[in-house]
Amino acid sequence: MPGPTPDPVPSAETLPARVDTVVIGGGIIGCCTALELAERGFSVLLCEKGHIGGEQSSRNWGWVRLTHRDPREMELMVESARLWQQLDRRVGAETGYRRCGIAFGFRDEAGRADLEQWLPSLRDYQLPASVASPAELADLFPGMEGGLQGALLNRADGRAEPQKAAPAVARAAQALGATVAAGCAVRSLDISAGRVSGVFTEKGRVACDSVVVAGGAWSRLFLGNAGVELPQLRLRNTVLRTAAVPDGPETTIKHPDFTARRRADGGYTVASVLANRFELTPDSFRLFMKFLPALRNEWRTISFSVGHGFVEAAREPRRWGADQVTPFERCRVLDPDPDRKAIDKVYASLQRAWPAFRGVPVEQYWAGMIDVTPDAVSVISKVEQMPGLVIATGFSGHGFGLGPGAGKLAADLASDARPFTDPANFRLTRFSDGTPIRPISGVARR
Amino acid sequence: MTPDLAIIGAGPAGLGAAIEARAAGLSVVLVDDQPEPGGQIWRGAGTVPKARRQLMGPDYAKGRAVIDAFHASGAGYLPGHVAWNIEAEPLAIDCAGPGGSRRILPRALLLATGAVERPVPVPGWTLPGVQTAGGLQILMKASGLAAEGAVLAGAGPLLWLLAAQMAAAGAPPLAVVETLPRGRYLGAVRALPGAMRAPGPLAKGLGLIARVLRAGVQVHRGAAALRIDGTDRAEALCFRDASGRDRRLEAQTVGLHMGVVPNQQATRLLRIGHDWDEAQAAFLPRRDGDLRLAPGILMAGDGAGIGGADAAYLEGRLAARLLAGGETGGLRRGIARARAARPFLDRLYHPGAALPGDETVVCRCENVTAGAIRRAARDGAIGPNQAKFLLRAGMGPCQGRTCGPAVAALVAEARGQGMQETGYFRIRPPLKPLPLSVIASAELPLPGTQAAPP
Ligand SMILES: Cc1cc2nc3c(=O)[nH]c(=O)nc-3n(C[C@H](O)[C@H](O)[C@H](O)COP(=O)(O)OP(=O)(O)OC[C@H]3O[C@@H](n4cnc5c(N)ncnc54)[C@H](O)[C@@H]3O)c2cc1C
Repeated sequence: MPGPTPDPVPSAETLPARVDTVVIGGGIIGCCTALELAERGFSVLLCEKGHIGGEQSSRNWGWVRLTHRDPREMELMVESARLWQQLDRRVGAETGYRRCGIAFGFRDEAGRADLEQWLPSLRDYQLPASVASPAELADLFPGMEGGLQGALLNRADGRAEPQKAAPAVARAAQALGATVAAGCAVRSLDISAGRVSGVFTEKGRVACDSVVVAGGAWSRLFLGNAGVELPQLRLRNTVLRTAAVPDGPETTIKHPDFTARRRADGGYTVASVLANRFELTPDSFRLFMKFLPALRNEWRTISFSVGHGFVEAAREPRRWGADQVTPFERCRVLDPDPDRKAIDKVYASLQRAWPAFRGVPVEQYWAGMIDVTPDAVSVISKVEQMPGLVIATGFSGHGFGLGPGAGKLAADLASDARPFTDPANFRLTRFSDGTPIRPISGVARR
Repeated sequence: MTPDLAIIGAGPAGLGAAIEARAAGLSVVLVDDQPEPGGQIWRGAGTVPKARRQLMGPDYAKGRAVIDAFHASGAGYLPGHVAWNIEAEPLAIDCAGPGGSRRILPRALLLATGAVERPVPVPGWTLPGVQTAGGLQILMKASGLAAEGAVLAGAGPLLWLLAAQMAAAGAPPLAVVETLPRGRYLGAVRALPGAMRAPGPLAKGLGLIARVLRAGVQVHRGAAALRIDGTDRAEALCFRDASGRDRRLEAQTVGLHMGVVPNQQATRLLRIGHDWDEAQAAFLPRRDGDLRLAPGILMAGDGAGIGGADAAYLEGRLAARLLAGGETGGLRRGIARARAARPFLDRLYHPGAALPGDETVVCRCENVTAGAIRRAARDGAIGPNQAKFLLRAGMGPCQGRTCGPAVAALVAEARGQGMQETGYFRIRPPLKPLPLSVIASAELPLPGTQAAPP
């Protein structure tokens, strides 16, 4: 079942022989990196195996939130929120960004305590976060029942349209001279004299000084072939979108049983972390110890399954040469089956709690594969042993909101500019140098 | 790199252009050899502690806002990169930084290379302890160091600004020795009405002088025949005062200044025509009304004629506006206003015709005296290039950036010819000395290696 259709982006027929930087992956991260670099005068090739925004970046919930951010990510997110505010003007198109606020509801004292602990860090950044009373909630969400005692409300949180954002950013990069090649998988890196000197794509070699790997759920596989170990697993989440809801709420709601976010078309994107599913693959066992703290943190909300994915993944080659057809070409768009049962249950509880949604039909179901790191913090990092290689991936279920800031940092690293925020928190080596791995916000706890 | 616009120089003009061009949606890269944006006037303004920023005065503090806007503009920035080669057709810039040399192929180039201090070759100027006023100011901006008991000598607004800044920092100079001939103030008065159209700079100048006097600094006006005495280092500044008496001021630190002139290295390298401008006593590159030096190459700021920071910033913005398209009337009017006091200042601070005596070293890199240059000129060197060829003047590490104007003036004087026909050094890449490793690993074969024309 295909996901929602991202806006189209024209694709280049021919590849340049040489550029300053090749960006691998046309998700929000790759697109923002390409735009940053193009604005700074670098020549850029953006390679996407399928179509721009075809995977996570068009399938996500569309939340741009500052709340529930790992403190290590906070500076990056504050800058991202600033960049989102200017993004429409910068790219000359509509990305749907609105500061609509997000209310994180709680039903009991334990829930309140859990949410209130986020307040101090938000206030440190002068963010307008407060605890909303049931009366205030009734104002924001007229007619909603569902037994909430209150909510953590941050009016600086927002939303944007996932089907629009990455394509709009890619087109803006194109307008500044970047080459965008869709349907063009990068097979492997060309390494000479110990540093990156180009990439081999399915359409031939392109020389370059640096490469940014922003391959989302594919980054581990791509880097593994280059001998770089990135601990990363895939977590499937299912989403549905409804038909338009007349007079539906503007503010995004996170209820313990469901979430609903208003879309530009007047419908709602409905989802829940309860529809998370961890599909066991051979990698799950290879990485089990690394992910143990994360799994402990979240295992209440995750269900595990062994599906045909296990066999498929086991068959997937892990090494290949530049002249071989790679897994990236065999799977142009990662399109996991939605977990209909789980998401229908979520929608049913939403409709039970909220009469406004009763009788509103579901227009579409889809699922997306979230790329998760052991501490649920992204990797935005140079690779010490391979000069010229930069990684920007592993956004662990919250990379849509971080896109503009992450692209800026990745561009800083790729161009050897002074990073605008300390990149140490995002370094790859934290998984191997003995740093204790501590998931703080996690994937599922938003 | 293939930006819409490459800018060389991160002073007011370059920053103004980068901000404006990004706002218009152009891709921009700015190359600058310093580690921080700001150029000379705003050096360090983006990063120094607030207290030091305030000491340096309001014009310096203004730099902070511009630098912040530049950082937020999304322009590419290559700090610590020396643009060591520039080619016009097709447009290309080679710049060397910590990571090696990089070639930029922009659609348009803006030179915002600013000014350099006019050399002040007086006896003893090469002794340790003698600096340019600009050099002393750099020390203050970069490291918060103000030399105690310094003597500042020469002429120009910077001399007073520096004295006021040192006083504010608690280390006022012992003396300011101004070398303007008597009557210069009266002569400049003719240009005063024009300057009064925008009296800001004049009021600021008078304010500075008042502050220096209040700080108890000795002021000597109408001084002549400057000389620095000392064996291993500067010990005293000697001069003849207005009443004809010989004076000697003991000082470990002497700051010399005779105003600033356009930095011609880039425009000369590009073989742009230059005209001698008697009012500014400097060569100015030929530029059209739209700031254009050649197709696709623009210049903004002091590099095209000294106009000061406000005018430079606006010219940078104008250059970007001209490239991106848009209304330019407001910016042009602003530039005219910002330059209104210029004719007055040019007249007041004109360096005059006095040239160093034969014994004085002029090219400090290669240790060439004024006498040697005069002799070479009389023996047939018709321009600075022949003097360079015969004497190595201008061949040292500074590549003639420091001594160029003085060498040209000496040749002109010795041959009894004008500055225009005397001309200037022929500048070739690299504009600044480079490590061989950079040249060896440069992206393209080294340009400019053809034999020098006679
Ligand atoms: C259901 C769901 C809900 C989410 N909700 C939110 C949310 O509300 N807020 C939020 O901030 N985040 C959310 N996220 C997370 C967010 O979507 C991701 O973190 C973000 O989109 C990651 O962007 P990306 O560019 O790294 O990856 P992707 O968007 O996955 O893009 C990677 C791209 O790389 C391409 N690629 C991979 N390998 C190659 C190769 N070798 N050659 C060429 N191309 C290649 C792929 O085809 C793909 O298009 C959600 C994710 C999911 C799945």
